[in-house]
Amino acid sequence: MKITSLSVEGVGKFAEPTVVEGFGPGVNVLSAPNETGKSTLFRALHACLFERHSTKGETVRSLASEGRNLPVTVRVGIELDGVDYSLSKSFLRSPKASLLRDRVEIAQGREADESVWRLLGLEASTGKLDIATFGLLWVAQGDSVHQPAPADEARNTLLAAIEAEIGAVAGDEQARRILQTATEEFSELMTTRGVKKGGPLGVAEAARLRANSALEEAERKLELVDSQIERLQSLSADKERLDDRVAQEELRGRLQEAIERQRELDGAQSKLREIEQSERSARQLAEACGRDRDRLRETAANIDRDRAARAEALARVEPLQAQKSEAERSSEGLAAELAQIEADLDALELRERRLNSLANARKAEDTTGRLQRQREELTAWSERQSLNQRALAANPATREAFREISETAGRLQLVQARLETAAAQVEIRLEPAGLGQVYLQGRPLTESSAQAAVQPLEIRVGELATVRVTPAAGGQKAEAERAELAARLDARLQAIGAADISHARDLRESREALEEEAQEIRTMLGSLGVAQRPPADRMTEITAEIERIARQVEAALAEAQTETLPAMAEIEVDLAAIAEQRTSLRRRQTQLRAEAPRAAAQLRRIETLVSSCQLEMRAIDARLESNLSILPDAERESKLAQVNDTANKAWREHQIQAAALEEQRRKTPSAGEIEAARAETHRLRQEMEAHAQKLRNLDKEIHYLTGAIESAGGDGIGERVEELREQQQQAELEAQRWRNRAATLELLCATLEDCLRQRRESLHAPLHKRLAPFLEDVFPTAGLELGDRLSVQGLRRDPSSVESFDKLSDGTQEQIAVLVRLAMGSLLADQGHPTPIILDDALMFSDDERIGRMFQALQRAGENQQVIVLTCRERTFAALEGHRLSIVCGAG
Amino acid sequence: MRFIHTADWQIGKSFKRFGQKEDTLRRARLSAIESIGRLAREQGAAHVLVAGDIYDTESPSPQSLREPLERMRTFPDIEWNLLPGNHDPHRSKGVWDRFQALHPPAHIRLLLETKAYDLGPDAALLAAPLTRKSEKRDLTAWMDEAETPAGKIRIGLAHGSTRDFGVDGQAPNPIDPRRADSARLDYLALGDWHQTLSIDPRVWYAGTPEPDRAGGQQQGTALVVEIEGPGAVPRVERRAVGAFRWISQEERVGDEPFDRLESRLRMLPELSSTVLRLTLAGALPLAERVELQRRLEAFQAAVFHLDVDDSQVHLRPSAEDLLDAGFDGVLRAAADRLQAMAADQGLEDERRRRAEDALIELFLAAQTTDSRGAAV
Repeated sequence: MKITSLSVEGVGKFAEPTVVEGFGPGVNVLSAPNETGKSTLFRALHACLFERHSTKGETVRSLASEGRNLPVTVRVGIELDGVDYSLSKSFLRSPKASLLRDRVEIAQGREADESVWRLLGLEASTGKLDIATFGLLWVAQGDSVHQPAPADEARNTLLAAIEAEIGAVAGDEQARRILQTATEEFSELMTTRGVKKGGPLGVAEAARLRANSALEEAERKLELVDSQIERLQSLSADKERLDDRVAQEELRGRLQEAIERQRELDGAQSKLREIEQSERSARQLAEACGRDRDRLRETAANIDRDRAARAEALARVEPLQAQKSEAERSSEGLAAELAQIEADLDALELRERRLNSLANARKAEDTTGRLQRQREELTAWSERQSLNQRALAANPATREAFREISETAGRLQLVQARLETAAAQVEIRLEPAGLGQVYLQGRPLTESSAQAAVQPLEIRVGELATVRVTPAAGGQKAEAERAELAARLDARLQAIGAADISHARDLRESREALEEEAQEIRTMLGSLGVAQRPPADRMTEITAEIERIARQVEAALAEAQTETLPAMAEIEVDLAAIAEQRTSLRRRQTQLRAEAPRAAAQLRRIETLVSSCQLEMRAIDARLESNLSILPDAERESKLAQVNDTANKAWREHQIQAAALEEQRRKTPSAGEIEAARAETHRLRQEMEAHAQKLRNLDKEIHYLTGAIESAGGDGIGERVEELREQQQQAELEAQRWRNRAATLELLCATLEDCLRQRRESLHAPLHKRLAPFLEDVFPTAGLELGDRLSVQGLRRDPSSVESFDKLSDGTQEQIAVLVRLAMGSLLADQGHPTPIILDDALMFSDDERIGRMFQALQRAGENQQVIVLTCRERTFAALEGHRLSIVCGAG
Repeated sequence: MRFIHTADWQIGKSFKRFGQKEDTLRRARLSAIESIGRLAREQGAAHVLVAGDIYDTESPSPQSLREPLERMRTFPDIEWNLLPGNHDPHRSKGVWDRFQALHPPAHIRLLLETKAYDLGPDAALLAAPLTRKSEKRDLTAWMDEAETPAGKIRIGLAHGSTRDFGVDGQAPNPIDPRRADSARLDYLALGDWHQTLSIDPRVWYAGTPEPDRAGGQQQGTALVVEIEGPGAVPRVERRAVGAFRWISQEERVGDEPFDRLESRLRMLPELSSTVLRLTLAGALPLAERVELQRRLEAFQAAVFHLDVDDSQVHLRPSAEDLLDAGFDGVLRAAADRLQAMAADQGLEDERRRRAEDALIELFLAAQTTDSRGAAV
């Protein structure tokens, strides 16, 4: 199919008959500015082909020209399979339709409507053709940015085209619905992380785990009860065995015998301990008496020894006292000499400081003369500067002011010259009789006068006449300029106090001399250090400095207690002598300081020896005093004899007790025998106690087990276990049933998804085939990922990744959407349905390079079918080759 | 003399898998005691011998412990002789101590010792109670040496297995099947085997009065035993006392119309009190597989309980199946793939089974899902 012509009347702004001219095969371009009515023509074309002529719908009503009571008339020429048809329809008023073939009417009215649809291969019954196949390929303004989403009818047409290539396809939609249902049910059972909590399988699994847990717990309890019953039986047998009364009596008898035997042994042991105590007391008394005797003898010996030692210590201490006195004298001599040296050094330091003060005062006084001279020079130059500044202030003829006066005077002369050149020459020859009778500008002439009439002149001749000479009109302007310049010159001369230009020049020369003098003064003051500040400040500083030096000299003289400052050479000689004396003193001081510690150490050593001897003698004296208080020399012999007798008596008493102890020891059993008897008694008691304890433990355990078993029996644990076992089996079966269900659904979903994927791939192949060259034109080496319902999923520019369609730029999305439409058109064309592609204001977001490539793709599409492009971008689309369409108004 | 021989009441047995019907089955076991009591009265039997496993467990709940006692209490003219079995052995502080603590009336006698008891004036009852769940010794061996008053009928009462006696790996609680001869017993009343069984004319298993599983005794029974005197051959008569029939039936599908199978099942007696375990095997097309499911669901309401094992019913979808289902395109490809998996002998059974289930799911979904719509 091709559109060959289009004309309208009563459509939008085309109230008058209007024709779109220039249609041809391939690419057609209608470039016109906004508001031209391109989109209205597009909608009129659409209505003519797909709306019934009798419709009063909004689509047609919106086409009518406003304020005009005209029918909406559209005529479309189409070529189908080499035959020319012309379809004309009038809507709303006097509706009618007519279809011509090769200029011969073949149908009218409703028949004309439906005949066209049949010719186009479309169904006549639905009345929804505009959203079908043509909706895909005829893209209204603003729709080109959306990817094509074929409505059901369009998909059927495309499907028919695809079926023609790959065979019949059916059942996929139902498979998709089944897959969705199965997936939804599966998702209730499982998630990607495993069993879904709260879902039927999750609930069944939870119930199974609970049942398992409850059963395990109950089985544990039952097992415990079982073991408790076994244990109870074993304990009952043990108790019966332990309850043997004969064995218990025999054990009791053996214990009694052991107790009697132990009692006898304990008696003998007790008597032995008494005798041992007596023997120990006697032995301790004998030993004490012996120790008293020995201590007294030792005291006597100590007294004798201390008396000899005291005499020897006294002999050692006397020479040491003499050595100590000598060492003390030596140390005192050293200290006195050191003190004298330090006093001498302090005196030298004081003298040196005073000499330094005098030296500084001498240096300062030497600068006083220079400062006074500088102050005098400053005073002279300062006064001269004041005079210069006053003279400058009295003479305002600055360089700038004089320059302006010169320029103004120059310009005035120039204007004056121009006036005089153009003005009439007025010459008055004054005759003698006229003297006093002739007035020029109100002043009597005293002689003949000749001047140019550059301004109005009034000449009065007595009472006879008054002559007014008025310059020509062109001279008035120049005169005004002259007057203005003259006034300006006067003002400027007055400003500098000059009477005329010559006076001004003199003033200027005078001021230049003053300016040169000012510069000289500034240079001198700068050399005196007051370039940037008032000279008075500097003079104040100099005065202060002179005063400070005077005070310094006065202070130095007072300190040195002299009236005149010595010469610097004298001062330096004195300072050198002081340095020499100080060096000598310090050398001696160092020598004495090295000797002092040695003398002190010697003194301390002697003092230590003396002290040691004295301490030794005091200790001997103390011991002697103590020992003599115990054993005075007068009682020495009698006391020694008395302690000796007492010791001998106590020793004999001990000998008697020791013999008695030996006798008792022979009679008493050994410690081993006694311990063995005690151990036997203890063992038998333990055995009795252990037996009784064992019986008590058995009773206790039997009692506990009996209670536990009765309690468990009362709870019906065995029956409970059987119930739980069945519940667990049921829960296991239920969980297994849901697991099976999940596995079944999973398998079904996986199978359906895989089959759908395979089917989708085969369905997309024909479209991919048509899409490939267009993609190559615009996105070389890229591929498109198609999804369900021929939707575009993404662009694959890189083999390893796919860019989601939604994430692409608006421009790229629009370009891809247009390319897919071109491919769909190509698919339909290949299957015998060459349908025009119409793009209204498409490619709005394309840059210059990309739009060039898109033009290439459009050219490629135009090779097989008609492509009509409506655009307002005349300059950009000038590069798109093809038939140029034009709108011709009033063509009727 | 005439007495009733019964065993394996297993009171307190759990029937949780029957859901809400559990209580009905538990009560049926208690009702069987009353049926036995009535049978004894009807037959003029003064004694009921219960050969073990009165309780299902050694520690029944207090309610389960009391319930048989109360049922027997209503028959004071009958002497009920209860022997501990392997499910309820007599152990210290066990079920029988608890039973005695309930102070049963005198006509309910517990046989807790291995000894001879008087059974009325004419007979001696030699009891062999179990004191543990699993006994390796033959507890009836003592009967060979047991003395009883001359002229009295000797009746043995025990609980255990006579199968494979004396061979390695014999069952626990063994009983010599020749015990009646060796111990000069006129009758040896046994329990443990849940089907009525005669080992020889003097040695009988009574079977359970109310079955608890399919595949065994279909209906509960008790034995009426009559012995003229010492040395006489006992006359034993089986009498139904159970309320429910437990039937296990295997059927093939695919070889005959479903109507015939359904007819056969509906011909079973007393369907409303039948617990039926139906094992099905065969191969079916998809549509028939669905139809089978529908019929089984309908039949379930006719029986007390229906338990179907259809794990051996395999799918064999036909071309008509796929055609009827309107399978085409992706659906057809998926069905073909699942069918191939189901038939792939190289796959595990479980995997093949899942493929069959997925195929059925697909088939059912296709039937309930709108098949209109194009496929792009």
